[in-house]
Amino acid sequence: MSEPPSRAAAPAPRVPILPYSRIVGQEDLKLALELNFVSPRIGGVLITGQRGTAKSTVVRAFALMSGGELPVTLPINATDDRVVGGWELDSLMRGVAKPQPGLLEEADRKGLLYIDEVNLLDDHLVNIILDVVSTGVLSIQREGIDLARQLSFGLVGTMNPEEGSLRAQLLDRFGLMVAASELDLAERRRMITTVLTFEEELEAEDSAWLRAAQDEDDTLRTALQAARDRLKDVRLDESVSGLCAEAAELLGAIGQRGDLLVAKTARALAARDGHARVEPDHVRRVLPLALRHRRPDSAHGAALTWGPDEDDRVSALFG
Amino acid sequence: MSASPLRPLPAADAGQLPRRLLTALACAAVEPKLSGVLLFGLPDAHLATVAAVLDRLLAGPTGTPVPRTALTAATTDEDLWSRPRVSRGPHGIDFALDPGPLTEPVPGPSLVVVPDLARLSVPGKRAAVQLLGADVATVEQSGLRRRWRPAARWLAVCRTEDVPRVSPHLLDRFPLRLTAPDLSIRPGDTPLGPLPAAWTRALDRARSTGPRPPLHPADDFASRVLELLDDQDGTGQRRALALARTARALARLDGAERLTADHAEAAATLLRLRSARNPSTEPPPGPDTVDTARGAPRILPGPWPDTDRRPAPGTPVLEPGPAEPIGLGRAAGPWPTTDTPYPEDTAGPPPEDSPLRTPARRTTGPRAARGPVVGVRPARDLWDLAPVRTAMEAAKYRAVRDRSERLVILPGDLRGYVRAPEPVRTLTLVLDHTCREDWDWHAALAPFLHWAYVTRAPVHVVEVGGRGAPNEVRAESFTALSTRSPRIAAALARPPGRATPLAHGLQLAEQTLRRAFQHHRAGLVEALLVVVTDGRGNVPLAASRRGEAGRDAVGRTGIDDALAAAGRISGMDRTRLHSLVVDPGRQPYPELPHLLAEALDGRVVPGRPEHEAADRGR
Repeated sequence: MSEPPSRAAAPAPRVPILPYSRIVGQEDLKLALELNFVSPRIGGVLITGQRGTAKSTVVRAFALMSGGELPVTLPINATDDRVVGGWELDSLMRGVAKPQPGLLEEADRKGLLYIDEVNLLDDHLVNIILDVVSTGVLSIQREGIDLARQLSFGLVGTMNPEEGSLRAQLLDRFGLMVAASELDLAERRRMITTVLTFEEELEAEDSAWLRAAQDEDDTLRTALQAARDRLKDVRLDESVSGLCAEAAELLGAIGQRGDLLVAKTARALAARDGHARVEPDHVRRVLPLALRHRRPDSAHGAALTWGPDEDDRVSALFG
Repeated sequence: MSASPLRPLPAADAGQLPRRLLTALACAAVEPKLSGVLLFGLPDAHLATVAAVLDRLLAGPTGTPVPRTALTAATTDEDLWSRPRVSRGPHGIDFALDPGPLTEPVPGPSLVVVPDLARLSVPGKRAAVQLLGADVATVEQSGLRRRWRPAARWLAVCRTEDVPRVSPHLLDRFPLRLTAPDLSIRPGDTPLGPLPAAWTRALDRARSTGPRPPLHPADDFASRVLELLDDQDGTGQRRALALARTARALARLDGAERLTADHAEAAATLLRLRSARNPSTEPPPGPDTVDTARGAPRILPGPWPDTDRRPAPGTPVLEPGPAEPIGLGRAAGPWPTTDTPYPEDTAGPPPEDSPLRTPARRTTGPRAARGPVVGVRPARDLWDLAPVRTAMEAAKYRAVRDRSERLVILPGDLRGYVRAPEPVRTLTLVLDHTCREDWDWHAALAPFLHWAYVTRAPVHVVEVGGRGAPNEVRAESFTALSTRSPRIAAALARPPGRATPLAHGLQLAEQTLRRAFQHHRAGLVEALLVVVTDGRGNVPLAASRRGEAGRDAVGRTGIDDALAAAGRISGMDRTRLHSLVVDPGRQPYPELPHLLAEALDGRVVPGRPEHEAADRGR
């Protein structure tokens, strides 16, 4: 029998999520998450896509890469006491009344609330989240709790449009929206090999493959953190902010939030790419992310697509 | 099973269904990522046997059964995620909230059995979507929070003709799928056949907690996997990964040191992918024991001899069964399911609108299935306890009851929820846009929308023949929580298109009504179906299923299909379902709305102002 591994060599329990740097394809999706990290005031990302397009994996991998832990996750069957907060039942059983913060407060601390299958969320939970996100205040008067807290966090949601659409009010609360894309044949080959390799390496005592991926993740996190730090120095000229408004109007974006989101996202992109000022190309690149879900027909449950018509209109504006 | 004599697989036996099923179950046991096994058409009588085999594969030589949970049409969230425990202790009642069965409180694999996937409750389906194949899972319920790495294996059965009823989103979560209507099992300890010795060793290794030797894919492995996929351009990556992981499981069972294209082919053969059945890609017949020195599989699940009883491609596996009562009715018409692992790919409309969403209602709540909580009162029994209020009640007397640190809950402290009765009404509105011409139908529909507004009824709208529909030969539907939804106004204003898929529209209405009756049970006190049409359906149901109009003359088929769909609706609960046809009064076939109303067992309401004038004149 071989000797048991020493304590130092014992593998730490690993989170079984593919490292962010090893995710194949999904460039738009990654871009949206990275921009939301660089500029948290963007307010979150809604990710739609057909089944099996690795939406949840990308979100979890990004959270692990950027924050070192899995995101605060609101499962679709959560009870409202866990969402808004309540009492710790075990303590209560011992006669000690100990408050148990809910997921919304935890999201406030960590900056992000992740809702998997967000379009399957029960309406009463949607109402609670909408109340908090729109007012910035969590107010609880129930089961002996009476408190009001200022909360702020970004929403990241994933959904499969086959299972229905999202209420317009909730849709509007996501700063960006992105559709998970299909992989081409070469990417699919790479994806299969990568996933199988990852699953094998996960069980190894010491994996050079995982260490290399972790190093790349660390490098990316450092770069994104630096971009976040220099965001405030990125200039947004009046001509470019006018372009943002013009593009939003051209695409029929509802309300003023679209204009602002285009400008904030373009600025985040400039910061991520190391530019000192926002260029028209930055604006053009982020338009589908910021405006896809803000067009008039989105309120009527239309498919939230971005097609040649939109591209043509954008081309006419940007030349 | 492991105690039975081990022997190499006889080649003539290798292709039989029991052997394939045993192979699939062994793959699921050896590979945690293959966590869902879905069997189409498995006879009810065999489910217990198949579950016992999987149980023993997971349990190993100790024979101690793994934890098992059955999910049915009656499963609720409270059954799945947390489990209140009240017991009598030496100092009174002990109370605790334990993790529920799906949170896998016991380390190691467990088994979840779903006897009828199509009739699984919405909470059960949502749980499946959350857990099957997930890297991590989270529960946040009633003071309980838990995050874990799912290791449960799901064994589900779906009747062949029910496939259209199940969400593709849910089906997609099952990586291992077999069609098994003709399964014959043998008596004794090995109902699916004996387990090869190599597999027993592989399963033992899979159960051990130590690291196992890595099994890396060969260079051509991924390419071969993609070549073998039936739908290489299909959406999502789960099928490719399912095939690759099945290949890896076969390689592990075989004790191989490298994952090769041969394993991918063996997996495709096991799953009955069409490409694997193609003679040009099927490996040549030969002994199923090959040289492992080259890394090729020793024991493959194929190639399958001609004695296999699989039907030819295109042959329905099961004839449709007899009609069923309301709420659990079978899908309309035969479903052309063949021996393919992906029957949902067969051309057809989506099964129903948002099947994993809780049906719409105006008064929702975490326990809305039994009515919203409107208060708390002393408990009369141990059902539906209010845990926080119970503990708080006991906590008040803690100091006087017991000087120790323990909280003592006495029967008098128990509190239960008071729930309001929950009457639910629904309005289902079928709008045939092609019957409007210059008719302003708002006035004709206003009374029904007013009824829905007053009774807080959700409105399910089915649009037939609207301009701009993604597919003009299919109807579209959506659910609005209230009549104030702008989507209803948009639907009422939609201009007409060219085709009238009335039969498909009525089928969507039927599915919605069945779902409402099934989900709300006694709570649904009244369902109103309003069909606005001239009855001139010109798209046969088959064309809607295919998603394209045929080249042959349609004749009366579209109308007859619509009348047949209406006939199925008429079989529902007459005491709660009321059907109306709003007649636009179009010529030259004024009798069609009346025929439709008759088929619906409803009545005709004149829609145009001319009719109202005539009525007033009389």
